Amino acid sequence: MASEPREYLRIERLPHVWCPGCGHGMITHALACAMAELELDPKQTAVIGGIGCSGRTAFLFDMDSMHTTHGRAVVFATGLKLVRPALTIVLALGDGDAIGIGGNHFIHACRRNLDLTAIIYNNAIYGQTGGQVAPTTPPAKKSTTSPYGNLEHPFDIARLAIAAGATYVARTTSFDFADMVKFIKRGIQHKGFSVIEVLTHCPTYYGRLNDLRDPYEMLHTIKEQTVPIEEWDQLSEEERAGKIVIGELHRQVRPEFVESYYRLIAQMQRLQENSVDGH
Amino acid sequence: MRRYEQGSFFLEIEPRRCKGCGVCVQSCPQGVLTLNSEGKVEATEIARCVFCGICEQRCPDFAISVHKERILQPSLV
Ligand SMILES: Cc1ncc(C[n+]2csc(CCOP(=O)(O)OP(=O)(O)O)c2C)c(N)n1
Ligand code: SF4
Ligand code: SF4
Ligand code: SF4
Repeated sequence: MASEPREYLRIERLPHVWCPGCGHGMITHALACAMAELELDPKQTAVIGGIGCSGRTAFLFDMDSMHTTHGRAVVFATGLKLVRPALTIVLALGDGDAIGIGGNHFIHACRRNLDLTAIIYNNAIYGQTGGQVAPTTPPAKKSTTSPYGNLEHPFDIARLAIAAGATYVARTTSFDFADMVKFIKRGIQHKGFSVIEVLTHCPTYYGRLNDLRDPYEMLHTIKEQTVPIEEWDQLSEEERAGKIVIGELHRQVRPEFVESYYRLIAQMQRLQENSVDGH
Repeated sequence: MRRYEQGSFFLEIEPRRCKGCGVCVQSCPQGVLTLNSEGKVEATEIARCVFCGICEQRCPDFAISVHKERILQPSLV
C-alpha cells in the first residue's frame, strides 16, 4: 500500500516529456492524489493510455501500465478487466484519442458499462501531432488545420458519454484541483463506466495559435468559461451561450458488464454440474 | 533538491524537474516564488509563505512540495 501521491509515480522518470506548463501534468498529479486518498494497492491497479501526449500518463505510474494504440486503450482495458476483474483500471485518454479515432470504442464501452474509469484530458486539439483540429475544437478557434478558424461543431464529451450510457459522468477543469481529485476518486469507487472529462490547456499548440501563450492565463481562461452545475439551472438560454457546465453531471445504477458476465458463467457451470449429477 | 524552511514547515523544490513555466510564481498569493536567471524556480521570500499548497497543486512537473508536518529532531524521537 502507498498513501503518498508520489509513491504511485515513477519519480525517477521525471522530468516527463510534456511541455512547460502543460495541463496534462496537473491532471496526472490529481490522479496520483486520488489513488493515494483511496489507498489503492498498486499491485491491484493499472493505468492504460492511448496515443497522444495524454497517453504518456501510463509511463509515469509505478504499477502495471499499457501504452496502447491510438483510440484503442478502451479495447485493451476491456480485455484486461474481463480476465482480471479485481483490478482497478484507469484510462488516460486524449480528446482526439477517446472520441476522434476511438469514438466508436468509447461509446460502446459506455453502453456496456464496464467497471473502468476514463479520464479524458480534453485540450481541444491534437497536441502530440502538431496542433491539428480535433472533434472538440470550439467553433472559430484556430489549429494548424483550421488556420482561419474551425468551421465544425464540437462534441460535448460529457453529454456524449451520458447519452451513450456511461453511469458516472463528471466534468471539471485543470484549474479545479480539488474537484479533479474528488471526481476521479468517485469515478474509481463507482461500479460501472465512469467518465471524468477535464477541460485543460495545451499552451504549445492551442495556446500559441489562439493568442493564449501563457499557461497561467490559459488555466484562468478555461475556468472562466465554466459554470458549476448548481448555478447552471438558474441560467437562461442566453446566459448559457458560450459557457460550459461543470460538476457531477450524471450518476446511475445499472448492471455492470463484467459482473453480469461472471454471473452468467457461474450459472452455466451450475446447470452443467446439475445435469451431470442427474445422469 | 533545495529546501526552504520557515520554522518547522518547509518547501522543497527540485530544480531538475522545474521547466520554468511560471505557473507557480503567478499562482502564489504571497509572492514567495521567483524564476532565477536559469529559468528555475526559487522560494526567494520564504518568510511570507503561508503553506497553502497552491504551488504544489499547480505545478505540472512535480517540482515543488509543501511540508507542513513537524520535522522531528532525532534527539526528540
Ligand atoms: C492509427 C493512428 N492514426 C493517427 C495517429 C497519429 N496521432 C498520434 S497522437 C494523435 C492525436 C493526439 O491528440 P489527442 O488524442 O487529443 O491527445 P493529446 O496529444 O492532445 O494529448 C494522432 C492523430 C496514430 N498514432 N495512429
Ligand atoms: S503539445 Fe500540448 S498537450 Fe502536448 S505536451 Fe505540449 S502542451 Fe501538452
Ligand atoms: S505554499 Fe502557498 S504561499 Fe507558499 S509558496 Fe506555495 S503558493 Fe506561495
Ligand atoms: S510550476 Fe513547476 S515547473 Fe513551472 S515554474 Fe513552478 S516549479 Fe517550475
